[in-house]
This record gives sequence, structure tokens and C-alpha cells, in this order.
Amino acid sequence: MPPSAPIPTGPDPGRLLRQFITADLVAITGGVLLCASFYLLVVRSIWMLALAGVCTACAVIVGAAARPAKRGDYQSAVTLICLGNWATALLVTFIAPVIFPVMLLTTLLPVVFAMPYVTRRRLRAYIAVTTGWVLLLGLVRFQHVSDLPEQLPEPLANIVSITTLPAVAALILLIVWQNAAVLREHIAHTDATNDALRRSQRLLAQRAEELVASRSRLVAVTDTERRRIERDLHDGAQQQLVALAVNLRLARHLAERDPRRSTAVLAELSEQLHDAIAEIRRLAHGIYPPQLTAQGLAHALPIAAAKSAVPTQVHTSGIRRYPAQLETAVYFCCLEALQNAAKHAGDAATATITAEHDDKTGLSIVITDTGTGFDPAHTTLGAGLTNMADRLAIHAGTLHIDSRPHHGTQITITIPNPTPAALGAGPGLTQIDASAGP
Amino acid sequence: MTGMDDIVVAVLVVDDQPGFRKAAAAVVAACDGFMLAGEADSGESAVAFVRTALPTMVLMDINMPGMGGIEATRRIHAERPDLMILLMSTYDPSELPADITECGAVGYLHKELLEPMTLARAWQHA
Repeated sequence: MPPSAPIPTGPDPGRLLRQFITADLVAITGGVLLCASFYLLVVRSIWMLALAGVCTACAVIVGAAARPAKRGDYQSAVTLICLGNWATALLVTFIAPVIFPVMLLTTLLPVVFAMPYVTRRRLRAYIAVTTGWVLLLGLVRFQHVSDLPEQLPEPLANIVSITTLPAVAALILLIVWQNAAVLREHIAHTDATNDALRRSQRLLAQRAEELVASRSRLVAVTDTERRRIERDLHDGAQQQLVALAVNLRLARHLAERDPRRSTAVLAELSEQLHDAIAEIRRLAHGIYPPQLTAQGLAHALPIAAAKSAVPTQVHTSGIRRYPAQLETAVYFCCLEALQNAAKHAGDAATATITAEHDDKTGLSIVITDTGTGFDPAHTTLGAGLTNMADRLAIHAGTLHIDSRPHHGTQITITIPNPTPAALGAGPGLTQIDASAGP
Repeated sequence: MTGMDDIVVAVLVVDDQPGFRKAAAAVVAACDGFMLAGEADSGESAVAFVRTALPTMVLMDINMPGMGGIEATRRIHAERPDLMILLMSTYDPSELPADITECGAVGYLHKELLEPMTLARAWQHA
């Protein structure tokens, strides 16, 4: 499976929130310093002090929002910041109505800021509060409780207004910038997820196709095998038995008429019967060797090697019993490899089967022959080996062929985690009941 | 029916399995009044044989590769309608192909039942 590009993680709300809190604190601290210096240098009014106090309180509230933000409780952090800003806007307008435009912007700030962090319902509430608050500010602007407007020289008040306006505007624009970044990250994240999903779907479709093809190959091979068995039985064993039956009748016919000939026919009959039995035994071994069921791969492979047309050596290590289906697949794969070697490897070829099982790499069988080899780039996998690969795939096994012209062929079967056979598999000796009671 | 003919019946044995041919030949040899005209291992060679030699009876296996017994019977019967052709196989009567009754054979014999008496009886009933 090709490695997929890592999906970028979604936007991190915590990071943006901390950014904003920092910027807000900087702005508010600027405000506090401004008020303090005005108090010391320009107008020693209690109201100025009150203004400084309001700004300080706002700074405290905004700073306090950092803790829930770190915890991941973004809703609470955002609520704190918004409430802090609104309260500040109202109080400052109350004290110094001349800064009304700046405070108007400050009132709008929360709703723009809260957008990515709160639910739709909350956002609706914020919008409603903002609208009401702006109205409230408009009204509060026209009251005259504090005497700061009179105490503050007008040009100075205007300068303050003009310079603090961009500060607050910058804050709002920072929020807009952050929101845009958040949106972009969301889109990138979604796109990447979509891509990964589409890749997965393609792979799945491919896998399904392979499985369907493999399954129909297996079924076709099963049918072919059945026909082969039927043909072998019909042409081999059955024909011999039919000829035997005819000869038997002949022997009976001749028994009285021509005893000598009858005896000759009976002798022939005996031989033919032995041949028929041998033929059936050979067929049965070809269908399923009894040693495989009884004793597993460790014993069946050397027997197959001895019967092979190519001189074959077998080395086994750590081989145990496995489920019948797995043993069958491995056994017939080795057989197929040996048969291929006999067909193609040439007269002087020899073969080796090395079967090992260790807990790290699982079960691995390597069949090598020293024959003529072939060029894998120009030869497709034969039907026999394709079938073997299909059968091994059922057990998550793989078949790998390595060959070069004049360098022989090596077939490697690997089954990573073969399940051990259930205890008590295979026929044991029949228990003869020795406790014969009365 | 008439009694035993003194004419020797020349039998052609057609079967793709050499083991059965040998057994059938032994049966023919053991049967009085019958002799082996020859052996053929396919429908094609049977048709050719019938043209050159002159057997009087043919034991024809149904199941052979290539032309097959039934088609060979049809052709031989078309050329030599006087020839007696007996079909043989290991099939159950219920498994026999449908066109067996129209190819010109006089009958069908289960291979395992082949013995001298059956052969003689079949010839007499012809």
C-alpha cells in the first residue's frame, strides 16, 4: 500500500486564543499606562484614576481567561474575554464619553472574536448583546456624571481618541486575519481528509476486485481438479477393474471347459488386481497424501521429495502442526514447485526444500533448484503457481519467486503468523478398551 | 432361432483402453465359432479397418476420444449395414446418450458383462 501524505491537523484554537489574549493584554496595558501618565502629568482627577482602574480590571479579567484556554475550555475563556471587553467599554464611555468611538469598536470586538469558538446559539446571543450594548453606549455617551471631559483639554482628548482608534481597529483586524487562517486550515484539513478517503476507497475497490478474481480462480481450479480426479479414476482405476471383471468371467467360463487356460487367466487376474490397487493408492496420494494428515509437513515433505523426479533434499526446523487447510496449501505449493523444476530445470538439476518456523518471522519455506532458471520479467506466473499464491493468500501468506536464466529458481513461501493446529488434530491410534469388565 | 452357425464370426474390438482390448480379445478367443478380426483403438481407425478388412461383428466402446463410438457406428453402419455392431460402455443404461438408438447398433452391452456366452447369445439374436 503506498504511503499516504500525513493529514494536516486541524487548526489549533488554543494557539489562536493565546495569541489574542496576549495582543489584548498589550493593548489594555497601553491603556493603563496612558491613563496613569495622564493622571500624573496632565489632570489629577479621581476619574482618571478610575479610568486606570477600569483598564486594570479588564486586564485582570482577560488574563484570567488564559487559564481555561490552557485547559481547553475555550467557551469559558471566550465568555470571560467578551464580558470583560463589554464591561470596560461601558465604564470607560461612562467616565470619558469622548473616547466613545474607540469603545464602540471595543464593543464590536467580542462578537467578531468569538465566532470560531462558540456555538451558533451562543453567537446569536452575542450578536443580540452587542446590538443592545451599542445602543446602551450611545445613550450613556450623553450623560455627564464624571467631569473628566471638562478637565481634559480638548486637543489632547482628540489626540487620544485618534491614536487609540487604530489600536482597537488593529485588534479587530487581527481577529479577522486569525479567522481567515482558521478557515483556510479547516479547508486544507477537509481537502486532505477527502483525498485520503478517496485513496482508501480506490484501494478498497482494488482489493475487492482482486478478491473476486482470486475467488473465481480458486473455484475454477476446484472444478478442474474435480474433473481431473474423475478422469484419473475413470481412465485409470476403473478401466483396470472393468478389464479385471471381464477376465474373471472368462476364468469362470473356462474353469470347466479349459482348466489350463482358466488357471493362466486367473494368474493374470491376480497381477491386474495388484496393479489396480497400486493405481488407486497413487491417485489417493495425489489427491491427499495420508502422511500429511497423520504427521504434518515435517514428515510429508521428505516423502514428496523422495518421489520427485528431481533429486531433492529437505531440511526442516521448528515445524509444527498447522490447520489442515494451511498444511495442504503449503504441501501442494512445494509439490508444484518440484513439478515445475522437473519440467523446466533440466536434467542435471537438484532441488532443496528448507522449511523453518520461528516466532519472529513465522513459517517460511524456501524451494530452490539449480536448474536453468527463467527471466521473471518475460514469464508470467503459471496457472499452478497462481493457484498456490491464491491459496496461501487465504492464510495471509505470500509467494515470492526469484529466478535468473542459468541461475536456478528460488520460490519462497512466507506465512507470518500461522495459527497452530488445535490440540488433538489428526487421527491418533484407536484406543482399545483394555478394561474389559464382566 | 437357428442353431449354432458353423460360420466363424470375425470380431473387431474397438476400445481406447489396451487392458480392455486384451480382455475382450481373450473372451472372443474363448468363444466357439468366434475369432478376432482385429483391434482398433479409436473410432477413426475402426472406420478405416472396416473398409479394408471384412469383420462380421464389431464390439464398439462408446467412450473414446476423437470421433467416439456412436459416430463411428453411424458411419460404419452407413457403409456396411450388414455389419452387426454392439455398443459397450461402463455407463448405467440411464446415463447413456440419447442418440444411441439411432446410430445403427443392434444393442448395448455393459462392459463388465462381456463373456463368451453373452457374445454367442447376441450373435444368435441378430
